[in-house]
Amino acid sequence: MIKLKRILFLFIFIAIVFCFFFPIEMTGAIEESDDIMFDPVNTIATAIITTIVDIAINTCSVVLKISSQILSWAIDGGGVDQAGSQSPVVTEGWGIVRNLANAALIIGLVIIAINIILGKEEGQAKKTLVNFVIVALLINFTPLICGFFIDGSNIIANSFIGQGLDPLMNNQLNDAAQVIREMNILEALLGIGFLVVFTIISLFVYLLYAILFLARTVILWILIIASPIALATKVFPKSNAVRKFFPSILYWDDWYEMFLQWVIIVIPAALFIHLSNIAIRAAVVTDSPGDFDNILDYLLVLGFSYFIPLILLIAGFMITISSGGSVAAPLGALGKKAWAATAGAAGGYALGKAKSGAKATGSWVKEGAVGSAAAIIKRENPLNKAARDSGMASVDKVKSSIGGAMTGAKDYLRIGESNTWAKRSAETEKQLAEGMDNYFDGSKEENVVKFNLAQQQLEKLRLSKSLSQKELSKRYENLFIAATNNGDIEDSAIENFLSQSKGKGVDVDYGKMLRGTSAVDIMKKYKPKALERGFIAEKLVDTKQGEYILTNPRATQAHSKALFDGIKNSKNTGTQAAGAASIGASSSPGDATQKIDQAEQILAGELDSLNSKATSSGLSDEEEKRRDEVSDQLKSLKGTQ
Amino acid sequence: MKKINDKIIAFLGEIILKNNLEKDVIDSSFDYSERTPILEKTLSMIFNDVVTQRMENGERIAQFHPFVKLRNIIDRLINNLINYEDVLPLLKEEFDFPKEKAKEISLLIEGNKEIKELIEKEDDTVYEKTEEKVSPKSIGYELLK
Repeated sequence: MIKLKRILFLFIFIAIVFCFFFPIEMTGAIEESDDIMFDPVNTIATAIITTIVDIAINTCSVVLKISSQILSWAIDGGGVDQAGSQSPVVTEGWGIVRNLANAALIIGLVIIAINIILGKEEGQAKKTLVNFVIVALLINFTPLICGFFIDGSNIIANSFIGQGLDPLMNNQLNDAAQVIREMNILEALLGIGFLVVFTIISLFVYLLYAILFLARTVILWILIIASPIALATKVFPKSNAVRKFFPSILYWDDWYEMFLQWVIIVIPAALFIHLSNIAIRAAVVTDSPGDFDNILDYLLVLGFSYFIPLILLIAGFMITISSGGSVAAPLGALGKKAWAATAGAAGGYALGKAKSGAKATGSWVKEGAVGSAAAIIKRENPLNKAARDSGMASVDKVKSSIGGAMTGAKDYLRIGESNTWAKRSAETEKQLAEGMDNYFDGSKEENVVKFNLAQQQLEKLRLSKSLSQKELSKRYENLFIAATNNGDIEDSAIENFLSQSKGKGVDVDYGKMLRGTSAVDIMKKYKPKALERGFIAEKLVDTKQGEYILTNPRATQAHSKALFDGIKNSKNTGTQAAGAASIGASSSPGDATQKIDQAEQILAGELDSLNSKATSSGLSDEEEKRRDEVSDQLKSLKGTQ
Repeated sequence: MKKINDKIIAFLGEIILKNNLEKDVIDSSFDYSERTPILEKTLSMIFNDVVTQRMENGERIAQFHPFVKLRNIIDRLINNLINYEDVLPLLKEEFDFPKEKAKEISLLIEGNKEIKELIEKEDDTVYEKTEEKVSPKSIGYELLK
């Protein structure tokens, strides 16, 4: 590798020396063979460079021609027009899948029947029956329906790119090559450099478009084939189980999204190819360098004329990929990789070399200046290298401590590769579904941000309609519980969340939730922090559960006190009066049930103390026996209630 | 179980204030002004930082708060677990009142119309039950039956 670099460097050096000492015009010198006799060095050099230029230009021309023809073929023959349902692959595949979908529908019909017989979600089952009939009919017409959409988008796309890529691009490149041949060596080298970069970029842009069109064709075939199954899933209720059974494009929501995106993806692509064609026709690069003051002016005009169509193609590709959403993302990634591996790398290498040279010089100057300044601050001689180095070391020390603080801040704000929005979003979605016990695990600021993120995630889920109302409500409730349990989330933020949810049709009826949960479960689900909130206490205060938490010694002291605080925090006379009527109620003598309660409390207390002793220092045999007795007595007491 | 109402809460608050029983459960910010309704005064002598702090220190409110002590007696009374005669000894026991003071308060309680009405009233407390899962009977079920 190093050897190759040296040879390349030697070659460039010789070329530059030739340019300086032999500023000749390349006029097909070898043809005038007499010159070799009179001016052998000049003639041989000219011949070598002419050959190199010719090889480079012809290679570029061939590459461009091949890539543009591939794109034209993808547009005319292989791509846009072939995307419909006429392909034999589609016809055969669709027939098989339709039969499978019919089988799936029969299973669906059986499920509906069972639901109606057992009365489980009967209303829903009846609605599903109507959908079932519609879907069973439509399944037989999916190629027709898909074809309608595909043909529609193809007609629009063909109106832009019906004639493929404009061949003028190649013609003009040949003109430019001719102009380059007539330049002097330095100008020719610059021109070739430009041409090579242009060709590499063009090659990959054309190829990416070609891949896009070809991929669209194949993917639309697959989507048409999968359409009967996807449509059949409309019959089934929206649930995770069904989603697992029909993954990806076999599920209606995913299929529908993917189909629409791949159908319309061709329109922005075609529009930008059309615009690029217009730009190619408008480009005028026929002026010879002689018409310009210098070669740079010429190259700028040349570059501008050639790169406009390319930039339009690149911009069009980016827009197409972004409009294609997640389905086109792999192609976008391919584009990025291609750019990184070729033109980006070439440009980056050149820029990097220039940058590193400038940086090295800059660093030397900067370190000298900073070191001198630091030496002056430290009251040392700035002309002395040791003093400058010492000064620089002090500056580095300060820099590293600032850097450490910045890294800390970055971690604190969770900025970085591992904390991307998409990743956190996915985590939030998972926790919303599975429970959010450990969701709020950061600092106050982080938790507030996480609360907002979770709300956005819920909104996304609500709008996507991918969940049943029950499943969606469950997620809202999970977030509500997690937020109330966390002290970093203000009451007002939670109340705002509740009112906004209600406005969007998802009513988190936490009063009903609390009343429908036993006191013991409330204490398991809700941390004391939640009960300290006035709005929770208001709902609990006059309920059996609230009374249990406030008065029963089996309620945890923390929850009991938290609910008391919640009543206080509610600042509501009605709530406080209701609380005042319950707090600290004692068992009354003479009441059999309460006597059992008392006995239960005493036994529970004894059992607790024995259990805690067992974990701390262990129990003697007698104590073990007593623990078993108490446990049995408690069980029998519970049986009497 | 029957529970005391707002009027009885205010009545108990009045007894506490008259006998200066509130001293250990309020702080200097307590509003004694006559303009403040007695119910609010009573509630603020229950739900305040002093009480919270004492609970945090492990004290049980039923053992230190005069209102809760009084209310527990009234609770038993209105639920017919004790009679008016039992009130006096209970007051003496709970508050260490001298006999005269205890008698005076027990007479006040006896004379309270609200308490009397509650004693005579039937217990109609209905707690909302934990939601039970209901399995509706379907057409299919009805047909098969």
